[in-house]
Amino acid sequence: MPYYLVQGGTSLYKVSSTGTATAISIPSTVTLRSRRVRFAAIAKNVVMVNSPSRSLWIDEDLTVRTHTLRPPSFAPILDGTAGGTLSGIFKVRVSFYLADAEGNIINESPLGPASDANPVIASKWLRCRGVPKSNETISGRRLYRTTTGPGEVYFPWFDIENNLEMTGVDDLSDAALILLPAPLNLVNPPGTMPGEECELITSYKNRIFLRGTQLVDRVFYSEDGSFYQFSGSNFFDVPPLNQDERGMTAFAARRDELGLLKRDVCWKLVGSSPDNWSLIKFAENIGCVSQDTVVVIRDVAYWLGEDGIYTWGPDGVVSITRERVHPWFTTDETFNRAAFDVAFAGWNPLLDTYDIFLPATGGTTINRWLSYSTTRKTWMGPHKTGAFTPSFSYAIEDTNDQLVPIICGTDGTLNQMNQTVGTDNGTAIDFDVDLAHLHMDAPDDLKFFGELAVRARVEAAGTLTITPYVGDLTATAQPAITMDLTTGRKRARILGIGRFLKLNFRNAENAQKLRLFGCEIPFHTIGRD
Amino acid sequence: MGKKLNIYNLAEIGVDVSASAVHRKFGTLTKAQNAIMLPNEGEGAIEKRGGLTPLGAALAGGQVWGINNVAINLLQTKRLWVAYENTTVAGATWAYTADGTNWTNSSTLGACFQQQRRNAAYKSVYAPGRGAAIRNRMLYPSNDYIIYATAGHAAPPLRQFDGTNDYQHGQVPFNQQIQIAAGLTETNVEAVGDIIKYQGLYYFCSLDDTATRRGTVWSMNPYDGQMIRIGNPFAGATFTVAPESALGPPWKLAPWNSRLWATTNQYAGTSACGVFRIRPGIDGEWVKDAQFATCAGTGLLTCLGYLWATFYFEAGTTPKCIYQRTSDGVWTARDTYVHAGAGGSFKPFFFDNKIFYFRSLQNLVPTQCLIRASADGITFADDLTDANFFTLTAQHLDDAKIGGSYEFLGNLYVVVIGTEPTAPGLILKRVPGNSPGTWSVVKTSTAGFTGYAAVITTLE
Repeated sequence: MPYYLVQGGTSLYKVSSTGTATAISIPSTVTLRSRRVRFAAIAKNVVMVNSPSRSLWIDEDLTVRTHTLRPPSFAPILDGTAGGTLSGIFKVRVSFYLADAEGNIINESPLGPASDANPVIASKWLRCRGVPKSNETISGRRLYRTTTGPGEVYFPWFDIENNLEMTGVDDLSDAALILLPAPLNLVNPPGTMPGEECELITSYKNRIFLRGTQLVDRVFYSEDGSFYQFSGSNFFDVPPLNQDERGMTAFAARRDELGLLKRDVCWKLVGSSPDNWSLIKFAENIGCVSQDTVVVIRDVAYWLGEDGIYTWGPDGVVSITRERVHPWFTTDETFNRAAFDVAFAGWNPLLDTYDIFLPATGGTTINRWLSYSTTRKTWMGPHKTGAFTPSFSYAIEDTNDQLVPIICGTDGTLNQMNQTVGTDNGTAIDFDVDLAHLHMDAPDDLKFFGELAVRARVEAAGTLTITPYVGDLTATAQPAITMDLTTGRKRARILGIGRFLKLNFRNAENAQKLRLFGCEIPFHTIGRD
Repeated sequence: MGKKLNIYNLAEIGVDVSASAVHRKFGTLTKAQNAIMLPNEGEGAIEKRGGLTPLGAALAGGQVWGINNVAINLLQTKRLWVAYENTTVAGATWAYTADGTNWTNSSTLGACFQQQRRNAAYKSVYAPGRGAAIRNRMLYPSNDYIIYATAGHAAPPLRQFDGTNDYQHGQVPFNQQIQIAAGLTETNVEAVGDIIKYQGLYYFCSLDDTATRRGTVWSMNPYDGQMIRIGNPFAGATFTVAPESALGPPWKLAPWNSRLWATTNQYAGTSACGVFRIRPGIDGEWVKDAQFATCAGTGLLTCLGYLWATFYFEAGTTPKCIYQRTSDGVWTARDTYVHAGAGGSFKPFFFDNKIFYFRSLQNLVPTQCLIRASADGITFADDLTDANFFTLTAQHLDDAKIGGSYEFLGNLYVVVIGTEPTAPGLILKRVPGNSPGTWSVVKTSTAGFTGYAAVITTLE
């Protein structure tokens, strides 16, 4: 049965596909804050950032640990002690590690500083005093040493399988050292040390990509296949640098290209490995204002820019709002544009729509959403619900691994969309549709609008309210017409004389379904007055 | 002339608020609140969107701030499995629990009562081995063989159970020295001893020959069943043939400081025993780290940063104790006590950031049979007295009754074998905290347990 990790308030939960939630413990040194949480996964390991005070890692058993381990801050002191068989001069570096129940290392810190070389020893144990201890929960400390000389390459030497003892001895010969040398330039990514947190994260090409809160134009990436190993050279900057305090605002990971989006410029990372990666600018004066609006549907990325919604796919970057719903995003009449950065989006796989959630004009609470049909290329909405205030949207798998779109709420609920019931958990759904002004291709002529006929699906009960507006563009509402939805057809009164006709269809009855097929309006032209 | 405008294209254009009121096409919507286009027999029409139905109860924490973007499908359920002494419990060979309280019998796994449990030579120091599980696979010794030196004898089989299926994974190879001495006559080792897991492999002891006190340590690959002898074999002090190490067969194993450690046991507390170490894959032979006189090794444990060893003394007024070894090679007796006659300490385990061990004085002074515990490894205190043990189990505590100890779901579970032949086997639970500890019985069987047990995960 699929499970999901969900942050509710300042707690982390395991939620099953049937909605059973179980709180998951997180390290006591980490707190979850009331802000958006972001996840990325590699090989059953999930990394959680932005809301935790320190980035977290959740393994497949749902054990929560810090994403990375901080390295030792000092080096051990070396000398010799009687009893062993080792001779020479060496240096030692130490790492902290976590092991699973089988003893396999599943996370390891970068190496601490190198020790001073020991006084030369002959046929002794090499002893390490003052082996650093971690203030985090670890399984042990791995000691790396050079060959005699001392050399500059560090090889795994032995483990102190605890976080208590500060002395370790061993006389393993140079010849018996494991040949694979330790990577010396591993570093901790943002989200590890105090003062720099991780804000954005994604997984792409079997690596973790992330952006911190200090160097906001810089992207760090992990080693291939690793969620925790970051080399000191594994980063790149996304230009222009220092242009604003937001820096890179979003990742958009497509199949073969990683989008690196800023507020007004879009770059992509192409190539198969760091050896042949290159950054290519693919859009200018177009950008993304909110990571949480980025959704990739069938290798096409959708996101919210300052002036509308854009897609980025095989056809390049395209605005999907400019043609028909431009005012929603370029005026303050419908939405609060100042709060676009808190918007979020999701994919409704049942309707195949990109749903974006926005705050209505006058507030910052997200209380409206729009849906864009990725197949019909049409917009519907703005939608709303009176049952709860949306806070997140996603599609999760049910017990049959079928995707079910959900809208989460500020009340902690996860609500399944597209249910066959016509109610939002007891709250009526307010269906409110305006048909655009009709002028019969003669906007300046007066027309006589005859008896309106409306066709709808026959329902078991319910009433559709139809409000006509006849006159000029500023005509006021006429008395409403009610349609009994049990009949499926309504032939209404004569609508009257005017240049324009506009119709509003509304139903706000609870548990009421409604399917509107269309309408017919007999008319004849009277002429110009 | 009259005309009629038919508008049945409500779903065709959707909302258009960009065009002027005069330039919008027929069928355009300027608002479509809670309206959708549903292809299920609704293509072309618009309809009220479906309802929003809560999925389960609201999260107690409040506002949902996000969901991880990949379903986690491989969540595993942990189960504690404990083997019965025999198959008389409704035909069941094992019992398991997923919550520590409710137990279910199973006959899927093989019976793992071992012949050596009755072998008088092992006396009371016979310690039922521990089971071990590596990622959804539990290795345990099965009883489906006839012990060496009996007609029709065979090699002890090792079986694996993956949570669903149980199958034989291998048979323990013969002891090379014994086979050489026997010539063309087939020999077999007698039994399987301790089993542990370490760095992705199983390590186990084979008890090869009671008479000459031979034994071997093996590694076993959990995936292909290959067994490789670790280092040189062991033999009793007076039977050693090069390259065997003396001081008896390996009895208990523990990993510590990148080495595998073994304590030996010559079945008599009047003999000497040793603690050996080896770096598997690096060293060719075991290195004797320490030798202890007039006692037999009974337990090894890694915890609190140290290696710990326990011993059994058969006679004499001897300090009986648990020893601690530090990284720089110093052995220190901890929690020493003196008692005339047989007794010792056994089966140390780690739980709730404390080291525990059993103390048994061989029926002489039941009141001094205890479970002791220490948070620092220096100051020990009684955690469960024999009197309280008797209150719980109606049996006295001695080492022969105690099987494996396992941490499961945050609590400690101790398998009590039961006084043979009729006393019931029991499973005790100790919750974290408190000193003395809070112990309870969570399962009583109509027959005893072998002591073999393991926590394994199963795919659900």
